[in-house]
Amino acid sequence: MSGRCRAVAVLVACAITPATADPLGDTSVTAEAHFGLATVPFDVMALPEAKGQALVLVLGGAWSVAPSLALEVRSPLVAASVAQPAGSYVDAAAFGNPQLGAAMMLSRRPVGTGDLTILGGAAVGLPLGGHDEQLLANRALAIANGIDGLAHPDLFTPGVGALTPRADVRWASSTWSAALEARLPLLVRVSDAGLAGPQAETHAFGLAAVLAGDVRHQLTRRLALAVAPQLAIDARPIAAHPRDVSRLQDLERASLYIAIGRRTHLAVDVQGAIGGELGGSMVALGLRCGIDLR
Amino acid sequence: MRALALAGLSIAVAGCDRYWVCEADDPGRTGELPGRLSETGLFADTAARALAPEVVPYAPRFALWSDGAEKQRWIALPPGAQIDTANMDEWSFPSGTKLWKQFSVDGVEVETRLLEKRGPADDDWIALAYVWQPDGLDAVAAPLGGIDVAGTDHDVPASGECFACHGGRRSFALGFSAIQLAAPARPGEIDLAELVAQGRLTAPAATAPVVPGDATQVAALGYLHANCSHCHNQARPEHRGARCFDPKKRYDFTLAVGSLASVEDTPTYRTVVGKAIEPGDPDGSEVVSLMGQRGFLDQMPPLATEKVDTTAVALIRAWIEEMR
Repeated sequence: MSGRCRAVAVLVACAITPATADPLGDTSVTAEAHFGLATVPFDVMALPEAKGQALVLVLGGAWSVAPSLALEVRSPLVAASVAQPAGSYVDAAAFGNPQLGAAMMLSRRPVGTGDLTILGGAAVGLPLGGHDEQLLANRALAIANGIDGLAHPDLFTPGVGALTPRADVRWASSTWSAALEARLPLLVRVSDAGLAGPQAETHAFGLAAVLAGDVRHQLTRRLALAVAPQLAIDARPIAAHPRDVSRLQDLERASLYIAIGRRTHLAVDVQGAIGGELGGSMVALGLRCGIDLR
Repeated sequence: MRALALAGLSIAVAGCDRYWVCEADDPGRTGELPGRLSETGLFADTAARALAPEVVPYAPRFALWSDGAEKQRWIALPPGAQIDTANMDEWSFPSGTKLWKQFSVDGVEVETRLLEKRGPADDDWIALAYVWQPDGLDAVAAPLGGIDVAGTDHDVPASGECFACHGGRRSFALGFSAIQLAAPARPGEIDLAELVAQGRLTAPAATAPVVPGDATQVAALGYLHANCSHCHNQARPEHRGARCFDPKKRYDFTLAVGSLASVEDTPTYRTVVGKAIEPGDPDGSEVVSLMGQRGFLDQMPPLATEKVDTTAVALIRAWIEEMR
C-alpha cells in the first residue's frame, strides 16, 4: 500500500489524528462521543423547537482500497433526554442515518515548510434514522444535530436519504496545520418519518452547505491544541420551519489532541454556538478517539 | 441497543438524580380518547360553548399558577355514581368521571385538558389536551402537546406530562377535593356542600374543613398546597419507572383534612418550616428563592410555568416575615 493511500485512510477518519502526523496506516477506526444540551428548530407546527440533553456517539472506519482511494463508514447513535412542552423530559434513543462514503486524495505536494493535501469525496446516507409516533426519536436526532452545529442533517434527519459531496484542503507542517472542509449534504425525502398530515410541511429535497475550519498547533510530540470554527447553511430546508429561523449556524470548537502511542489519538473537545438559532442554548463536551489498525 | 444507549446517557449524567425524567406516554392509551373536544361530552353545543347537562363547573379555592392564564373547570360524574371519600384527602373517583380545564390567555381560548377515569383502579386515568382551532369551532387532540400555541406564549403539555403532577396524588384530580371545594361556590358552580347534598360522597364530612390561621397564613398554606403538594407530599402512590418529579424528600406542603387543628399542625409547618422556609427570613428561604426564578433545575414549580408568580412570591415573603 502506498504512503499516499495510507494518508487517505487516516485523513478521512474524521480528522482525529493530528494533521501533523505522518500517515500511519491504511485502516483506521474512530469513535466520537459528545454530550451536550441544545434547543434546536424542529419542523412540527405545534413543536417548533426540540430541546434536551443528548449523548451522541458516532462510530466510523476508513479503509484504503486502492491507491489514493479509501472507503469510509459512519454510524450515529443518539441517547437523549427530550424536553416535553411543559418541562418534563423523556429518555429516547435512536440510530441516525448510517453513511457509506469514499474519499480520494486529489493532490499532495510540498508547500512552504509543510505539505498541502487536497481530498475529494462523497458519502451516501441510508435512510435508517429512527422516528416514532411521538416524535421522540426525531427530536433526539434533531438535538444531536444541534450539538453538532446543525452540520450533519444527512446523519440526523430521519426519513431522508442523502448524498454528501465534500472537499477537504489541509496544510500541515511539523508544528502547525490548517484545514478547510466544505460539504454539501443533499437530502432526498423517502418517508415522512412520522410527520404526516398537517402537522408539518415536508419537502422532497433539502440542501445544506457546511464550511469547517481547523487550525492546530503541535505543543509537544504528544499534545496539540486546535480551534475549529464551523458554519452551516440551511440552504433549502427539508421541511418548512414553523418559525422564522436563521439559516446560518456557527459552531466553535476547541480541542486538545493527545497522541497515545503511535496508533491511538484522542481529542477532548469543548464546543458551543455563539450566533444562529443555537446561540446561547448549545454547549457540549466531547471525546474523540482514532485508532490505526494497521 | 436502546437500553445500552440509555445506559450510556445515564452514565453521562451520573451524579444527577434526574427527577425531571418521566416515562413516555402510551399512544395507544391516549388514542382511546376522542380526537376532538366536541366528542368528549363537555359541550352540548361546542360552538356556543353550551355545557352538556351532566357537566358542572367548579373552582378550587386555591389555584395552580399557570403563568396568569385564565382557567375554567368542569366535572361530569357518571349518573348516580359516588366518589369514594373514605379517605377525605384522597378521593377515589368512579369510573367514567371526566374533568376538564380550559385555559385562555389574554382572552384567547388556547387549550382544554381532559382527565378521564377509565376503570376502577386509582391510577386508571387518561389525560389529553385539546388545542383550540383558530376558528374557535372545536379543539383538536394534541397528545404531543404544543409550544407557544395560538400565537401566545402558552405551552400545552404532552399527555404523558400530565402524570408528572397528577400522578403524585392517589386521587389524581388535584383541584377537586374536600380542601379545595370547602368554601362556598359561586352561583352555578358545585362545592363540597352541594356534593354532600346530592349524595355524591360515600362518606360525607360532618363539617367542611377549615384552613387554620389568619388571612395571610391561609393564603400561603393554600398556595403551597395547590402549587407544591402534588409533588411534595408524603402520600405519593407507588410508582415504577422513571422518577418523574418524585422529590424523594420529606417536605410536605399538603393541607390535609386531619391536620388542620392549627397552623403548626399542618404538614408545611411540620416538615418545611425551619428547613426550606426560614422563619422571619424570606431571603434565606429556599422556597422563596426557587419560586422567584425560572430556568431548568432552578425553578419551582418545575413544570408548566415560565413566569414568576410575583403576587405569590410577595405573599409567601409576607407570611415568612410574619413568623419572626
